[in-house]
Amino acid sequence: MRQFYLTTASILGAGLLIAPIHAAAQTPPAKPAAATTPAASAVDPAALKALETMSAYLRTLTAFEMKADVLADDVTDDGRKLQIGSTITYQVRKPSQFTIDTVSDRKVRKLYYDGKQITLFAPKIGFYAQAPAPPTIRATLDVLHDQYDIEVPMEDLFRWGEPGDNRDKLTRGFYVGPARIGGIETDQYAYSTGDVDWQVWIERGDKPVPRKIVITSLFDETDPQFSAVMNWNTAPSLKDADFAFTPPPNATSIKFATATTTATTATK
Amino acid sequence: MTPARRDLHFHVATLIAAAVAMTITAVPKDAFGRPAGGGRAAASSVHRGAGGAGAQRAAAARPQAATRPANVNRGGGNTAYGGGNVARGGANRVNTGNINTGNNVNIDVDNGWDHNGWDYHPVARGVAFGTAAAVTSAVVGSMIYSLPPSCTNRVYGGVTYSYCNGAWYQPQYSGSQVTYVVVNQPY
Repeated sequence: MRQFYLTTASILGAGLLIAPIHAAAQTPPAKPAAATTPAASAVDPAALKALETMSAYLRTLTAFEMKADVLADDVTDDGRKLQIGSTITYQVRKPSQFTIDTVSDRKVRKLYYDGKQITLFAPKIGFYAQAPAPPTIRATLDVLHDQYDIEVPMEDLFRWGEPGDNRDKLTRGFYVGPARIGGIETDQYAYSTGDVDWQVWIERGDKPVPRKIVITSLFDETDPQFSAVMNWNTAPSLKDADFAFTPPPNATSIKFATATTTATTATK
Repeated sequence: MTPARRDLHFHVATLIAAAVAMTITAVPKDAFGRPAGGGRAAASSVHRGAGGAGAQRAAAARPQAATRPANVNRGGGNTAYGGGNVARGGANRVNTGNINTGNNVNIDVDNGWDHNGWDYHPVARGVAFGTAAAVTSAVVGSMIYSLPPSCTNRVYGGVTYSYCNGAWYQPQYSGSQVTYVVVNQPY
């Protein structure tokens, strides 16, 4: 895995020199000549514009609460998809605070980031682990992913409209049509990026937030899906204490097994 | 491992093929709601895509939709997923014989020691893999996904241990999944 990271990072590094991540709206990104694909023309400019409008709005939010009802497929070894439901709640104050709660019947986790450290708490079994974190949400997401193998669901919310948001990686994008999500009028769009197909339902009006996301993973033969219906509060009253973790009396501290130590364990 | 770090208009299949070759012992990524230990699941963000939950799956083995056979045989056990199981090997071979994660539905669960009510997961417990069935066979240094019944947490020297009928485990996070490393008696 490490090797792959390095390799792909190198590839990306080389690619970045050639292809600026931020393409202007409705302008196809510059591409290496050898890698030009016909798929580039399959991104409808209106679909790209919708994504950019949503991204620009999300970027204006200095704080938000988002609660998502999530259905996600887990796949057994013999290819059976099991649908697991959960609720995921974001509390965010940019640039350096968030809590992300995931609650399912199988697992409960709360992830805290207070600008200085991350805490992952498992309230049902009373364990928490802490580690230092960089000063921004985006850098912290990378630390979580790269060092601790923790991925934040729907982290696209922090990525859209930011450098490296993969906008130029779209291979397909088109407008599906109007749709109501929870009674709210939205427009449904479909996109493809790499080995995932995804759809987003963007609220109409002056708050173009995503109201629903469906991600279909083509890298697995069973095409498992992740689906989230999202409710937004774009003007929450959040305070520092909301992002600070105070261990309950019966909670005890454990370690993060980093990728390195896990690999070491695996060889024993 | 993200799409951002990956495809860049190169032929994705080529890179994926290279990836499979290089990630046999990969440590699985674990999204919040995703199985650890190499479990298969849907990606939970576009940004991470296969670099997340599906990082170690046999992406290269998945035919493109256009060419996929109409009747993919998905009932034949692992035969349809040979590549996947190879790629998953790194995670599932963590253990030194005392557990078998042959079915991964059990490994993303807060399996504590309260197996009543909401903490009882029939699928998970039914297959019983991932639990140290016999403490006498627990090899120090091996890792398990859930504990046998009747354990308590004890802290020695600032370190949290789980004590189960004479056996000691040190809990840790592997991704967001709590795993347990078999350790010697700490005092």
